[in-house]
Amino acid sequence: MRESIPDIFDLPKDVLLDLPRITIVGEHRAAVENHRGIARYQQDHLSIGYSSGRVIIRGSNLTVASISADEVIVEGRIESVFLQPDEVQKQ
Amino acid sequence: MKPQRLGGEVQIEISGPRCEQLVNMAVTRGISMWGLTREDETLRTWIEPADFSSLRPLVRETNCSVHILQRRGVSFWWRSNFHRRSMVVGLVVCLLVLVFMSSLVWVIEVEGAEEVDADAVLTAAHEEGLTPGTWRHNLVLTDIARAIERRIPAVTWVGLHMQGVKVTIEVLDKTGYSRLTADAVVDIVAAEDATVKEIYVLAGTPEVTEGMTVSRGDVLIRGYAAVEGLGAVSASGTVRGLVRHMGLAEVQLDQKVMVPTGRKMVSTFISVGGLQLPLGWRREKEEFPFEHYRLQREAKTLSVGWPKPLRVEIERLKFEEFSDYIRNLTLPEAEQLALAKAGHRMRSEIPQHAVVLETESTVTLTEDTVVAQVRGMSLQDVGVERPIEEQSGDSSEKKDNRE
Repeated sequence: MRESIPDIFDLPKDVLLDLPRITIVGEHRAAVENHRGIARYQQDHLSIGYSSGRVIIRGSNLTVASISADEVIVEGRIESVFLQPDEVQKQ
Repeated sequence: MKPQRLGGEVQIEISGPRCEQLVNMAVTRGISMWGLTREDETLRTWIEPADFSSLRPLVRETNCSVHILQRRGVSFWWRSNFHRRSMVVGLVVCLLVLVFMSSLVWVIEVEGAEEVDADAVLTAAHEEGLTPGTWRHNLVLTDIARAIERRIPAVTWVGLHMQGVKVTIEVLDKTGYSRLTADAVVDIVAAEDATVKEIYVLAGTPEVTEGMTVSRGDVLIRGYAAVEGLGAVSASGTVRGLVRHMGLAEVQLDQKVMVPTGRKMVSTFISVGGLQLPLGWRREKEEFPFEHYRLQREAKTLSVGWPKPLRVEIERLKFEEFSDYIRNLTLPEAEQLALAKAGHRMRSEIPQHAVVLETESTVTLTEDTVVAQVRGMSLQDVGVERPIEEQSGDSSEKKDNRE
């Protein structure tokens, strides 16, 4: 039911369901909005929490260009970005 | 990396097993961080100096340790140099000199002088108190302009305007004025081939009537130059007519499409006098970084010094790479595109205020090309002003018309 409300009222899902909004610019920059902080950070691996899982960014020379309560901006050579919902982590 | 902040910034090193947690807690308390990097077992980041003390309770809570690696920014520079008296005095003197120098006129330029010698205008301006080194705030530009007009009889009008430390003297001499007034006597002629629908004459003699077909350049309302005993009459009025328009477009079924790849390169050149220096990756202007590209050029020029200003130009060339691929259109897509292009071409010929009365279109297919033709008719103003033609020989006839 909760997932269908945004469709019924034509509202943005990322705001209503507190989902991350990820913007990737080429292979050098990614911005993650609606985040819950950095879970783990290495130069080749960055894990950013969101309401129901984690955004995993893999690459090399990864740096956090800026972090605020609203947005994390990651720079470096980005090779992959994927989402890991909490159910997968529990398994 | 972000540019340095005016309030300064400090780089801190966070060490401990829960340093990510410290970052998250700091962020939730409204502390912004930037340039966060991992160095072995520690994190390094930049924060605002005022936020450093806010980290202390978080450090205790997470069992991390934090220490400052470096400080930078204007505020730190000022604090470290404020005790040097000569530095402060030098800065204040520099500011005073800057304010003093910018309160004076340094450059005077003359524009628009054709018959009148620009040096004569400058000399007149100097005699009226407008010289390099004059206080800008003491100048009454309108008084100086009127005084120059009085001093040089060949000048019809003088206008002065000041921009920064530069004063420009605009001059309209008698030659320019007489040409302007001669140009003011006009005929109204047809701008397009048209069929006349309406004609309203305010001045001059109508040469056409409603229903007549006229060609581009035909006189619609005639004006008259001044002749002995009679003043000039400049044609004035409105002539509206029906004008036919046509737009033609061809679209191939195999379309070569250019798309931006996102790669961009910028090179900057600085020219001082005749010397040109590259600031960036390109050493020569003829070097191009991509096979297909779009070039945007921006140039800024400034003149430095007096009385012979040195011209300094900064030129910025921005290259945006494009790549091409072939896109196959279906026949309906190609027809739609061709009609849209042809319609756009036809509409671009029609002035904004014109009324489009009717349009029709045809589409034909030849091998792999779709050809679209859109025709239309509009009711529009067809008269434009043109300086009067040479009037000789038939002056008696024109006098009659005027009477």
